[in-house]
Amino acid sequence: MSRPEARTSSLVRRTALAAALLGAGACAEQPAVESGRDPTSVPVAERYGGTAILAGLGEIQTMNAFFSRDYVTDQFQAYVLFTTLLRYDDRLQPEPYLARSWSVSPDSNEVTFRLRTDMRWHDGAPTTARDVAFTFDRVKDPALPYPNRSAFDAWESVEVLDDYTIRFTLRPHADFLHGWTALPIMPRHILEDTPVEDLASHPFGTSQPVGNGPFRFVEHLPGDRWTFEANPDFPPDLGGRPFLDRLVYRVIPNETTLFAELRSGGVDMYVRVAPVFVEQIAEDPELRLAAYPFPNYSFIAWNPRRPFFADRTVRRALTMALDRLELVEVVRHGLGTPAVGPVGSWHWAYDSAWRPLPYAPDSAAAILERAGWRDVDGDGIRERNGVRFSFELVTNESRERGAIAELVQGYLARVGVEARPRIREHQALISDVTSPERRFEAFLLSWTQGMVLDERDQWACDRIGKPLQFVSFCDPALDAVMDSIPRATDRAVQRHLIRRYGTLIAEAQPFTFLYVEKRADALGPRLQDVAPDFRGELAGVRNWWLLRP
Amino acid sequence: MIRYTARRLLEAVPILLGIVTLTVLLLHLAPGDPATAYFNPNVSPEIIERMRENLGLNLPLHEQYLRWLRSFFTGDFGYSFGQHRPVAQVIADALPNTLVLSAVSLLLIFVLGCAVGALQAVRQYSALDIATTFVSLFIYSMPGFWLGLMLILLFSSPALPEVLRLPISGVTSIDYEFMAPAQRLLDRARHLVLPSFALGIASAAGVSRYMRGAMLEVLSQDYIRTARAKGLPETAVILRHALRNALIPIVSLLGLYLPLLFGGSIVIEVVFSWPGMGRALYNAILARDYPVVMACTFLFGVLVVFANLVADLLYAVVDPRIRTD
Amino acid sequence: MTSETWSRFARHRQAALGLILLAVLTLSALLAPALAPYDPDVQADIVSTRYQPPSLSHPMGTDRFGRDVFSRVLYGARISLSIGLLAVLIAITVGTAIGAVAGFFGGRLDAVLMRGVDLLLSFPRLVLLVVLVALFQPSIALVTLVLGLTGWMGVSRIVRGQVLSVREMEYVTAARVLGFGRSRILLRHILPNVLTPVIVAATLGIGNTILAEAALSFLGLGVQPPTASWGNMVASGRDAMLEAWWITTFPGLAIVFTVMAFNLVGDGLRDALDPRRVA
Repeated sequence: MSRPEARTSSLVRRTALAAALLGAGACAEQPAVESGRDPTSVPVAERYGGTAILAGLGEIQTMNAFFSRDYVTDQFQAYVLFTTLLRYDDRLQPEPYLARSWSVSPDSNEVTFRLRTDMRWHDGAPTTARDVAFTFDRVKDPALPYPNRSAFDAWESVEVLDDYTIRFTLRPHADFLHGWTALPIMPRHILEDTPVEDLASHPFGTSQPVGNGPFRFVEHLPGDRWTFEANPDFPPDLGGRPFLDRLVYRVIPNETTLFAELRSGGVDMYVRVAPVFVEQIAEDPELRLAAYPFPNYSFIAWNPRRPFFADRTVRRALTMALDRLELVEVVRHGLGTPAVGPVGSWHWAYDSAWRPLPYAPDSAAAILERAGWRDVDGDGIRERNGVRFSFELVTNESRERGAIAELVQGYLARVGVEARPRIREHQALISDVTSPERRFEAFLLSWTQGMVLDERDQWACDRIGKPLQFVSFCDPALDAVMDSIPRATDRAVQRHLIRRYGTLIAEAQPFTFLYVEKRADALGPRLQDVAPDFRGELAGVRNWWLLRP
Repeated sequence: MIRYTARRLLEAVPILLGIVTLTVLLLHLAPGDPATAYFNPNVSPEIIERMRENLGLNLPLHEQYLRWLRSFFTGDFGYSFGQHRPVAQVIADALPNTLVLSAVSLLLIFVLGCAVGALQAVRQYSALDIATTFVSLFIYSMPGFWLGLMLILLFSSPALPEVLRLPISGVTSIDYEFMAPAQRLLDRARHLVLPSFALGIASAAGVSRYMRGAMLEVLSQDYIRTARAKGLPETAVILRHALRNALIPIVSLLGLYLPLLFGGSIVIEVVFSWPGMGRALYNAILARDYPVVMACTFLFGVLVVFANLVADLLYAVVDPRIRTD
Repeated sequence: MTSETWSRFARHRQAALGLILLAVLTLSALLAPALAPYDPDVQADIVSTRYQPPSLSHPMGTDRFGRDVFSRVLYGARISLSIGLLAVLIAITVGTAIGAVAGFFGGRLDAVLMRGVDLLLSFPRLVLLVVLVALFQPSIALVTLVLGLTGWMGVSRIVRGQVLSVREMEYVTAARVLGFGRSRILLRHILPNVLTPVIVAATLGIGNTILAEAALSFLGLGVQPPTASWGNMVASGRDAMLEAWWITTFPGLAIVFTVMAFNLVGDGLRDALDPRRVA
């Protein structure tokens, strides 16, 4: 959340997904067959052609990867217009993409990539090691606000050995290749001469992008659509020319209109469909829902500097007063699962024996009673030493979170606790909760996680006072566990540590963990073989094709 | 007439200056620092400082004001952080779409409004008069976005035969670039139908009420009675004499309805995904993209001033008495 | 209002209809706690109670949180009508004050004030509303205030015009000759005369204010949930307009009939006050 996901790239965190889930990653339902033709019977040779129309609420602002700010933009850059050095296969292992191979020096201080020699920019120039070096240099340049720079923190220098070989020096760390699966390589020959401070305004980003990916840029009508066409020269061993002739992304800033377009066939895919449409999609034989897990949990942070929330038994009671199963159903229409703690079920280290705290309002009331919170004056709200159990629950303008706040208010009222929901503008809220004074009583937001669960910024004793240590949490035993996680190279050891971390946090309940999100795209009857998984919906775009009647 | 035009133009200058002042003041009064809107853990303080410089936020208020004043008259509105391109480009893309939508709506407002109003006056107190009065009041009283969404659901309904369906979002079809010129025109026209209707229909209801009143007044005048007495056919009396005179005061409504249209375009452009100024303004506000907010607010003001000017001049043309006022 | 005016108004059938509608609306808003079968904000056992079509137990169905739409429409009437009334009260107070001062004192003050009015009128109202509300935090108070402060300009023009014409009338001249102070003339003699057109403008203005609040709600800038206003009920039910039409239709109709009622009454008043006009 401190990384408001609308604004920062979530590619890094997104890939935190685990091999465990990968098999079951794509939960797209069986394709509809009512159009009279069974899609599985269409021979591959007949799958070529047509224009697929995607639409979403948000605009894709730029194709310049240095300035990417949101999830959909990241995907179009990494999977459509450009290529990354490496990409994840469907088991979360890095596989060759622009780099055809790589080698790591014995002391892990050097990585050498050998690039493909047949990859060309769409203007004809070859893609070489110099493009990679250029991209790396810009990413490391502090004058550029590249959102995922932290993935390259340990990467120190670069050396171009020849046109297609490049060597990096780095400090060894876990999952070190990750950054290269998320960073699209930018064309040096177009952008090199532009001063860093003018890069953002270079027309490359908005009107003249040149990529090297499976699709070429055709047109950008700002506020309306981006159009891409198949790149016939895309290397055959990477899949070759995509099936689709054209791929269009439209902005339709209003859910009702967007859904009406999907239903009438004007749009083939509603990217990240609003949960409220889940039932309507299920009832419509023409439409399908493709859901995939997303490493993002919603939570309520309790400020222990307030009299109510210092006691962990009270925090646990508050969690138990909330019917999280109902909440997920009402707010997400099933697109989510109640959370146990900071380690979600998408993570490979998740312990399937974990259970969320039960929904038990009566026990919750009893715990509060024992903790000294009693409704003495009979107004329905508990007090202790003259202090009413009444606090402000702040959240941002998101309709979804507004709804959660309303629900929480209702649940807590039933155990004699008064939550007063308050909507704050996102930036103002962020500045309040990250300030050292912690200007909040309780807040409700969501948190998108990383590949490596190194979350010391959030919980470590020595980070108290730093922006992300929202609830001033401190537990030396936990600190020891968290310090070991990034150092563990062995998966079994890491699994044990991460489980310990998850258990300790869940017991202390510094947050109430509400639910882990699932995302979903809604598909019309034409578009086939869309199988979104932890990599996002566009990772497989090359294989999408249109069923023609 | 030339002198009148010149006078009116001169009168517009202080208003334009006022518009700049008000726009700057408005944004200056807003709490919060626009530069912090680009909150991102990886954005260094230097970058935020540069954004502030870019926005002129580090300058004293009067210098900021002069800066804006200059940019408003040179057309250089600065740089949009949200869209990664100059604001002038943002405007250049959005303005024509809004102008086309407003122009078509305006046409609809006046043609439909006047036709209905005149008809009501001619058939005063008939069932037709009462029914249309009720219907137009009903439409006038509907929230615009609600009407727009109903139109969208109706005209995109799979239950509707293909020929009756209309485009519900955007300006052109996806295959626009492959169309012949005539097809392109038709395509654009079809995309305009629903948004211009949703944008203009409430105002058309308003115009019809004025028109009804104006027409009734004209119909009670002596010269109409004379014309009738001369034995002219009723249609000729109405079309040639009454209608023409009733239309004169309606011209002055132009200045009244254009601001309504521009305001309504914010909602209608969001509903119908129309890439115009209203949506640019709305998106910019959500993204705290202040340069775009200022440029759009300013331009809406200028457009209204301009529209009023045109309305006044038109009125002076059709009713020469006004010029001596 | 003279008795003659009143009888003209009462004979005005449309106005009478509007008045009856308004009376019903105001009463149901006032009696909402007694009339509403359910608490408008309470949600219980949501999954089984949400999206219920209109029935005997829920005459207008339930919304996505299982809340009774009928109860929310009743409580929403309080919010929507009070926003409308308060905003218009602000608008006519500011508008009357500025218009009266400009008209009465004339000269340079008049010129400055009226240029200011021209200036504000050259911004589309919704543009001003959206910018102002979005830059600050949307709250009921802010929305009301901003709606009021963007709605007074028309009133000030009307008042100024009236003051200008009344000022030259014999009894005002007489009062001046008698040596009454300016403020006394303004308050005692001129204002009562301009009041009637202002009331007409106010009546028509309430309808527009309710519509403007609805537009703001659609853009997410109106009254914030969970508080129910008709505008945000229509706006937040829009996702399910086909499947659960009742969530938007009833508050939508409430807006339509309220705005219609205010317009009918306003027109009736205008006709009653100005006998020359043909109804």
